[in-house]
Amino acid sequence: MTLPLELGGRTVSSVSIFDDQEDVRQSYQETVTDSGLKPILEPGPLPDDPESVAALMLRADAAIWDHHLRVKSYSSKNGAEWVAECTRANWPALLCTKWEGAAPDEIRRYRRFIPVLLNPSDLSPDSLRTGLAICCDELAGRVRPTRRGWRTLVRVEDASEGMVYVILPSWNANEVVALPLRDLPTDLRPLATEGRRFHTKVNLGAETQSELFFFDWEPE
Amino acid sequence: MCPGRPAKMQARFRFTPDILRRLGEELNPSLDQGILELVKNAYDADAHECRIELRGTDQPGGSVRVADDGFGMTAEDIIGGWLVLGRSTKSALRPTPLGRLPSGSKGLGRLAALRLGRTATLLSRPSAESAVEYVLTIDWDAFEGVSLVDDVPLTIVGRPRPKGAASGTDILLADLRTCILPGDVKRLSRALVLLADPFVQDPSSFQPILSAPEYADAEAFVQHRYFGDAEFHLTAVLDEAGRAHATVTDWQGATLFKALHSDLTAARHGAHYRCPRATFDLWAFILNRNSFASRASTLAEVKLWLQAFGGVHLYLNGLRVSPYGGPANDWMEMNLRRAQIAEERPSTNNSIGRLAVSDAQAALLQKTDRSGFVEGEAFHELKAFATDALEWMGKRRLELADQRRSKARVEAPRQTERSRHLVEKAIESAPKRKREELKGAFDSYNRSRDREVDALRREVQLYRTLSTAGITAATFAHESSGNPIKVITLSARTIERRGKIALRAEYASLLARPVESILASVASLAVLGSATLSLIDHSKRRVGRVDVYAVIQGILTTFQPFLAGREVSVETELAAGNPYLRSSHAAIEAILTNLLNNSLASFERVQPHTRRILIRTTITAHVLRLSVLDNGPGIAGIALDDIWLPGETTRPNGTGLGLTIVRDTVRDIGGEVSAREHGELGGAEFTIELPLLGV
Repeated sequence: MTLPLELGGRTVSSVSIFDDQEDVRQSYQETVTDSGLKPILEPGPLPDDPESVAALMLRADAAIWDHHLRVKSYSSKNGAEWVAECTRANWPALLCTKWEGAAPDEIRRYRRFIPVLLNPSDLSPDSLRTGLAICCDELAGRVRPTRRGWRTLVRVEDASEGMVYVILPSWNANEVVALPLRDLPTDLRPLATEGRRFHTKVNLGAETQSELFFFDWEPE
Repeated sequence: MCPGRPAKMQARFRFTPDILRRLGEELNPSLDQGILELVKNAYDADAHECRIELRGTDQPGGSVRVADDGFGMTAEDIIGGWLVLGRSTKSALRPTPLGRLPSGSKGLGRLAALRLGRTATLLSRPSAESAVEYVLTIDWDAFEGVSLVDDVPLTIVGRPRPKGAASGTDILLADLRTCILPGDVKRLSRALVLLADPFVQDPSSFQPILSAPEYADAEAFVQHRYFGDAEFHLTAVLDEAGRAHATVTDWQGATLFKALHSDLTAARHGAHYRCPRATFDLWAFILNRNSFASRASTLAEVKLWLQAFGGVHLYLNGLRVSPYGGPANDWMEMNLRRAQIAEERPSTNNSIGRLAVSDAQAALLQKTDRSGFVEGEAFHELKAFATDALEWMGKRRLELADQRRSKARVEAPRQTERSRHLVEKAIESAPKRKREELKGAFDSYNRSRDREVDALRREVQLYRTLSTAGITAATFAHESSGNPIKVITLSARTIERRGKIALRAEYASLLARPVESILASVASLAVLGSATLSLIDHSKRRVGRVDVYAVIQGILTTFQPFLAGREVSVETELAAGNPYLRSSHAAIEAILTNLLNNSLASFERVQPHTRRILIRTTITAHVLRLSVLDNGPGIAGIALDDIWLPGETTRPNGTGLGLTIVRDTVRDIGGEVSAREHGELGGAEFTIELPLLGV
C-alpha cells in the first residue's frame, strides 16, 4: 500500500533507486516499500546525454543515490555529482553513503546541492520520508539554518599534496577543514598558501565539518 | 554660533612631542635597524662608502657617527626631504644618477636613530653647491618642555665649505641615552656586512664600514666566499612577465638540471608569478668529511661561515631587507620542508642564498617598523617563485639519489664478489698452517653476513607487502566491506521492522536476539573497513598542532566494537588539561594503535579473567608521559631490548614491526619510549615521553 508524501504542492509516491549493485538496490527496495512509497530500481548503465538524463528524472517522483557508482560501468559520474544535478533540475534526491568511505573531498564540492546525506546504517522508512521532505523543502526555497550560506573569512593554515587546510574563525577557530585545491577557483589556487585569507560563502550553521560547503569565492 | 565669530575657521593637525617617541624609538626599537636606516640614506645618496664610528658607546653618553661620500643635501633637500617624516615610498622611486632605486624609507627609522642621543647634528655638503655646507643641530631635550612639535624651531646654518672637503653627509648622534652592548654591535656588523649584497663582488658597489673589531671579523668572514665549495648551486630567474627558469650546477660548474617555467610551476598549473622580477641563488652544501676531502676549504670553516650567514637573504633594489635570512629566520620554511622530506633538502644550516628583487613599481611594501614586507600578493608570489625553485631542485636531487642507490644496488653484489675473491686469494697465499684457520674464520664471517643480508631483504619485502596490503584494502574497500555491509544492515533492519509487525509480541522471543547479533557484528565489520581507510587519510599526515587527547578518544571510539567483541575494557586516567604538540595526527595514532594491538595480541596467549588496558597520562613541565598498561602475560620469551627490533615477535604470523614503528615514530617526534616486562597491572607496560608545545 503506498502512502504518498504531500509536500507543499509536490506529491512523492515513487522513488528511483540508484546503486551499482543489484543486491544493494533490492535492500533499498525493502526500505522504500516499508516507507509507503513505490520503489523503481534503476539497473543502469546510466546515460550521459541531457535528454536521456531528463527522461530518467521523469520515471519517479524522487531518488535515492549511492555514491560509488564508477567502480563498475554503471555510471561515468559518482552519486554526489548526480544528486547535485538532480537538485539543480528540481528533482528531490538524497545521497546515501558512508561519509568516511566516500572521502569527504569527493563530496564537498557538491555538498551545497545535496540537501540530505544519509548513512546507510541510519536509513529507515522514517528517515527516508523525513529526508525526502527536507529535499522538497529546500527545492521550494525553505533552506534549513544549517544549510544557509554566509559570507565569511577563511584563513589558509597549510597547503600540501593537492589539499588546502583552512580555518573558519566564524565557525570554529580550533578546527582545521580540509578541501581539495581543485575546489578553489582557478585564479585563487596559486594564492592558497599558509597565512592567506579569502572571503567566501559557507554554511556556518553546520554542526560538523562534513556538512560544510564553500561557494562564491571572492577574487583577490 | 557666537555673534562676531567668523563662519569658517582654519585648522590643521598638530603633534605633541610624544609623537616623536611613538613614531621613533617605540615603532623602531631595534638600535641596529635605526642605524641601518641612516646607512640606507647614504646608499640612496649614491655614496660609495659609508663609515660608522662608535665612540665610548660601552656606557651611556657615547656617540655614533655616520659619514658618507654621497651627493649630500642642499638646504631645500633637508627641509623638503630629510626633515619630512612618513612620506610614501611610491613618490620616491626615481633611480639615482648611479641607477640605484631608493630604499623607500619613510624616515621613521631615521627618526629613531637620530633620537639615540640627546643631540643629533647633521652636516651636509651637497655636490650641487660645491662651496657650501649646511649644519643642523637637533636638541631633543628642547622638545620636552613644549606643547607641540611646531614650537621648537630648527635652524639650518649655511657656511663656506673648507677647501678640499668632498661632498657627502655626516651625522653625529651625541650623548647617547644608553650604551651599545657587544651583542648589538655584533648584530649591527652582521647586518652591515650583508646590507649591500656581498654575494656580488663589485668593487664599485656600496661599502658600509663599521669601526669596531666585530665588524672586521664579520667582514673577513663574509669575504671568505666559500660559494665554490657548495655541492649544488641553484639559479632561478624570474622575468618581467612572471615567467621563470632555473638551472642547478655542481661544485665544478657543470650543469646538472635545467627547468623551464612549466617544470617549476606544475603545482600551480603554469600560472605566471605576479611579482617583480627577481633572481634566486642558493648554494647548498653537503657537510660531511667525504665531500670536503677534495676541497680547498675545511669542513669546520664552512660550518662556521654558514652558522654566521646561512639562510636565504632577500635584497630589494640592491639592499638587504631585514629579517629575511637573519639568525633563526627561516622565512622560506626550508627547515620545515626538510623535516617533512629529509632527503636531499637544504636547510638554513647547510645552505646560503640570495633572492635579489628589482622592484621599480613599489609592488613590495616594507612595514613601517621594518619587520619585513607587508604580506600582500607580490610578496607571496615572490616567495612562491623561490620555494617552487627549491622544490624542483629537491625533486631532481632525489631522482639523482635514487639513481645512485639503484646503481649501488647493482654494483654492491659485484663489489662483494670481487672482495670475496681477493680475500680468498690472500688466504691461499698465506702459510699452510694458517690457511685452514683463516678459511674457517672467513667462511663463518660470510655465513653471518649472508644471514644479515637475508634478514634485511625480508624486512624490506615485509614493508612492501604490508604497504601493498594497505593499498589493496583501500582500493577494494567499496567491495570488501561497503556493499555487503549495506546489504546486511538494510536487510536485517527490514527483518526487524516486518518481524515486529507480523509477529508482534512474539518478535522479541523469536527474532530479536539474532537480529541484534547480526547488526552488532555488521557494526564491527564496518569499523574494520573505516578504521583501515581512516589510518591512511592524507589530512592525518599533515604536520601541525595535534591534540593528544582527541587522538586517544578517536582511536578508542574507532576500536570500541573490536574491544567490546574481545571483552576488553579500556580505562583512561588522563591528566588535566588539553596537551598538544607539533606532529601529525597519523604519528600519534600509529603509536597508540600499535600499542593497543600489542596488548590485544598478548591476551590471545593467556586468558585473564578480565581483560584490562589502562591508558594513563601525566604532564610535567612541557613533557607528556603516556603509559599503556595491560593485565596480559607481560613481555616474556624475548629480551627487553630486542622487542623494538624489526621482525622480532613472539606471535605466529606476527610481523614484528608494531613496536619498531612505535619506537621510530616516538624518536621522530623527539620523544623517548621504554617498556617494563610486568607493569602495574601485571602485564606489559609501555611509557612514552613526548615534548609538548602547550597544555
